[in-house]
Amino acid sequence: MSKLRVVHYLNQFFAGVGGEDQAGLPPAAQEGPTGPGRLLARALGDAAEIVATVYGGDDYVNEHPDEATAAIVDLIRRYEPDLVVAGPAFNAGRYGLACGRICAAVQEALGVPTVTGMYPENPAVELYRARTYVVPTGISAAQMAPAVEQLAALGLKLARGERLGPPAEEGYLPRSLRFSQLDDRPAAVRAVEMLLKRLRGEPVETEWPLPAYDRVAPPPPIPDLSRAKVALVTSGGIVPKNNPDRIESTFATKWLKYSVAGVGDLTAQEWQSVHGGYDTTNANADPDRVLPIDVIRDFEREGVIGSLHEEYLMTVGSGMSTDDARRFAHEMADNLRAAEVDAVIFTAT
Amino acid sequence: MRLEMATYTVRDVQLGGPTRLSNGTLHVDSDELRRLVLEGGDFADCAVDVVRPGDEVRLIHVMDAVEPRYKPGDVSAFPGFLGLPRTAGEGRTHRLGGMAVVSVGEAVAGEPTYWREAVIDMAGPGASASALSGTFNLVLDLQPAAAYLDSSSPEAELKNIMIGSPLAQRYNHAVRLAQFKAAAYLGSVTADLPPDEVRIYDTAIVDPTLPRVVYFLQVNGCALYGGSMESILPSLMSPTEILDGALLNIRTNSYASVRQSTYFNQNHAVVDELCARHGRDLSFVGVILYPGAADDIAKKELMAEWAVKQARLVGADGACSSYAGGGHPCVEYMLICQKCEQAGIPTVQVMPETYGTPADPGFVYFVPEAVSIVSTGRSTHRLELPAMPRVIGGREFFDLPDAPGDRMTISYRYLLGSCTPTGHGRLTARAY
Repeated sequence: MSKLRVVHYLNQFFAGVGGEDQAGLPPAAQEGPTGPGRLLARALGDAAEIVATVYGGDDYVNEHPDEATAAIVDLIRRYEPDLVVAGPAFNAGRYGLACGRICAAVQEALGVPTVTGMYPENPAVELYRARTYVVPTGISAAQMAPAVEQLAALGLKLARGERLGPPAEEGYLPRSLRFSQLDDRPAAVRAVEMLLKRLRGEPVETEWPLPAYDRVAPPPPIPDLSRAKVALVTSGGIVPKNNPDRIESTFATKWLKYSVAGVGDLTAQEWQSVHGGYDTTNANADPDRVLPIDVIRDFEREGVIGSLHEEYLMTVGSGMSTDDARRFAHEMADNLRAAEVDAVIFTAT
Repeated sequence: MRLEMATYTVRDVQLGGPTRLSNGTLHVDSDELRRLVLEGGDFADCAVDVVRPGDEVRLIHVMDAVEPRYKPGDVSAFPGFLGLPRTAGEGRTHRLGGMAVVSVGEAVAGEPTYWREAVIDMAGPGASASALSGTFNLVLDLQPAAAYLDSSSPEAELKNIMIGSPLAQRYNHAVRLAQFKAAAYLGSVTADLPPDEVRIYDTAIVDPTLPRVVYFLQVNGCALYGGSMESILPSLMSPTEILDGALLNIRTNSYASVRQSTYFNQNHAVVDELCARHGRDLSFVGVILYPGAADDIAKKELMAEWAVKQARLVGADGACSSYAGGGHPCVEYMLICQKCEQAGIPTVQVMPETYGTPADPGFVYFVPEAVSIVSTGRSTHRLELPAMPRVIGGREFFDLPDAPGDRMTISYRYLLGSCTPTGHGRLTARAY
């Protein structure tokens, strides 16, 4: 049984090249382990060997993220690893960001499992915890030994494709990724037992924790709406009749744009709603109810707004994951910004 | 109310009459059954099959499933469909335990199919996801009458993409009626036989010092005593009514993983568990049933207020509350939790996670008071199903690229009842 091949990523300091003065170092590689890699190699034992160490300056990686990541992934690829270990970075911010970024990129580009280690409050944790595995470590390199042991233990499991248990058992920071699995008791039994505990005033642990959402800072208000170019956007599923581009009624995989140049009013003959999550009878009778072209054209004529953008953007919101919604929103925003739109009226259902 | 549920355990089903139950084997005269199903004129044909737990069979295009029942006397086991809508949940009811009648078949003109696909695998990894892989299933493979397939008919017009054309609604009603007739026909074999087991459900208060618990049941796609639930306000019912046929499925275009199939209402696990604890750990003082959902925030507010008021009127100390799944329903569902908690009624929620990639928190809507949730699984999680040599129900999926008999990767969303909010299953979801 051949040994698993591991590539270890380090920054310029831990690679022994230099300190802050070398933070601008472009990526490079060398055979075998170095620095803390030697401890890691011992922790991996006979099961695996560190075939190479790839390293880069923390400033270089953070200031040239795309170039540096591509170069590092390329260097790593040549060694055909079964696992990539980065750091541990402890509480070092730039190093943590580099480790997280490299691990995520390797995972996504090469499909090779990755693991890194950081102090839980390292700012890189929030960004990368779900895109790689982050082992919690102490705050400084004084805790190198236990960190390396943990990286080795988890790394070997990942390299072998073993199924991991929950974060607390396996020793990694929760990634907040939810997966279905079988419990030993039916939901009805668990629910009634949970209720009885609550009625006795005992603490319970929810099976589905509530999210904490980030907030988007609103841009400054439009100084003069009468000079603004306004676009209509909707998740209400309004499309030209017969849904020419076949957008799905639920779990839509795309967003679309359609011209409303010269259109003053949406009619039931030429437009429809294909949204599968609400009763579309009224929307089909008069699609302006969901995409108010008629009213916005009145505002345009009356000088309330400067002009209506010649296209409207749409998708079907039913069942859309927040990841997709976020991605579509960024793409739509890019499209509208390129068209020099000043403001959007977004109708949802 | 006091219900005696007499179970007649089915250990095999064999086609070949006369229809009778003998030593645990249900013998079925399939010609007679077929004639019964065809007599309304709604179907061009009906094939009758038996599939057993462990068979390498995949059922697709599943519409509904129902447990054969029989009620001696003048109250029907399927009130409002077969017989007048007299109050169920008391007296004696016979059930054929361990089996179900399952209806499968193609969609008709103007029938939306984006949520219609539902699969039951009788063996393999998919089998652990559905209660119905563990029952002997008598499958009615229905072929619609030609009139239902006529897309040029004005009745085939799809005005409301959620509930379908008038033709589709009528067809779905006809399918349920045929199913319930079949279930009643089979259930009647128990008329003069001694049962294997009798369980008494008695809602009388045994010990007034025990905490009083209500169960909020959010309903989607079901008829209440045969009538639409569209405009009703939350209604207090006896738990025994739910177990005894008051709530029957009528809508096929509803997510398979959380579809409120008739079988899961007849064998409602949360209701059953609360009944089992009644008089010992709690007093189960009622089910508060309400439709999910209104499109309008004022109606949602009214729905939630009314439901919680009913709970307060019966002196609830605690509540369980099931989520039907979907977007709009989540709002009144969460408002009920919030208002209960604020009224000092701790509420444990039973929730399927119907949406979201693994990184997605998955909530359509939530309130800070939703602190004790039991998850019945994340529908979007995918699993691998093996190839199956036999497929019943159709030649192609409605909205999946795979050939139905092939090995495939499929999300739980397509497996009937895999995440049912009735609490029957062991599927859950956890964070990693």
